[in-house]
Amino acid sequence: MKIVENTLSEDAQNQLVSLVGQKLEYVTGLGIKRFLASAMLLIVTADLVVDISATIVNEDFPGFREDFGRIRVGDSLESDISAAQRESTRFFKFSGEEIERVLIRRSTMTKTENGTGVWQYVSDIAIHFQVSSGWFALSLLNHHDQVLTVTYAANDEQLEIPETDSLFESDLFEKYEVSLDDFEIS
Amino acid sequence: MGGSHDSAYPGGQNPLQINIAELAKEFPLNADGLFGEPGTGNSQVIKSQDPLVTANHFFDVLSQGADIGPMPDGKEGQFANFSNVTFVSLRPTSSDGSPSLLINLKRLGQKMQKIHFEKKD
Repeated sequence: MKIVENTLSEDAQNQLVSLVGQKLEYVTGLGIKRFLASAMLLIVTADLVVDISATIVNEDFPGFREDFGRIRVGDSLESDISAAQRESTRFFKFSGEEIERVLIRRSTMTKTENGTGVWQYVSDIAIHFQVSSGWFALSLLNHHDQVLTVTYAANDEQLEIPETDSLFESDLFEKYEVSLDDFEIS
Repeated sequence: MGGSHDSAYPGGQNPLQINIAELAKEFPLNADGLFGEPGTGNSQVIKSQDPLVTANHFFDVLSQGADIGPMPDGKEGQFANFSNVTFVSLRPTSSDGSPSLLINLKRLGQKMQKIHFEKKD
């Protein structure tokens, strides 16, 4: 079975871990007006500005190629970061609270035909942050876009991470199953 | 494409659904509620003399009433956000070189569709 992986690099994970212990100030992103979704988001703390963005990668599967969103950390252009800080709406939920933990949500989508595995797509689709009084998460809007959305909740279970939608839908012969795994990075 | 409820908007209809209905007057939807003809993989295809002009027209009509955001890294392309419920994104040059558009109404329980705009022979 062909396995395609699209996961956060070690360097990206290290940058996320650097946020632990930081006091959150606000979240913003490129072009944000009323709604907190963007192709590039910034987590701004008292001491750090960490950019989390998404790009499109073209992946090779048996019989077809498809574009997928990939989360990146620390790869944004300085001009985009400056524009976001200068022009975009800022969201101050949980401002002043310490970031305590960072978790990654990994999705594994498996295609089977007549019960036989054809391919598997493993991707990191969301990053969860625990702060003193709650949680927030940055997640890919869907598997094929480069847009990230932000959700807030009082606890991890209540975080409404959008199902990472895809163009793949099961029918009588082809089945697509998705499993999700959350793991802490430190 | 109607029938789903979005409490963020008066009357409960997400503007993207209205915009799709408007665009469907020019580009009829098929029985599955999709624009164009089936293409390779899971995409639809719309052929025209000038694919980029057609793609931009789709985005202009479909994005009415949305927050419109840019793409990073100096890339062309835009996405339209309707209250974090429905979305449209346009890439003038997708991986196969053609403009592509993604219409996402999954949060209203409707099918997501990707359209490639190709040159008519």
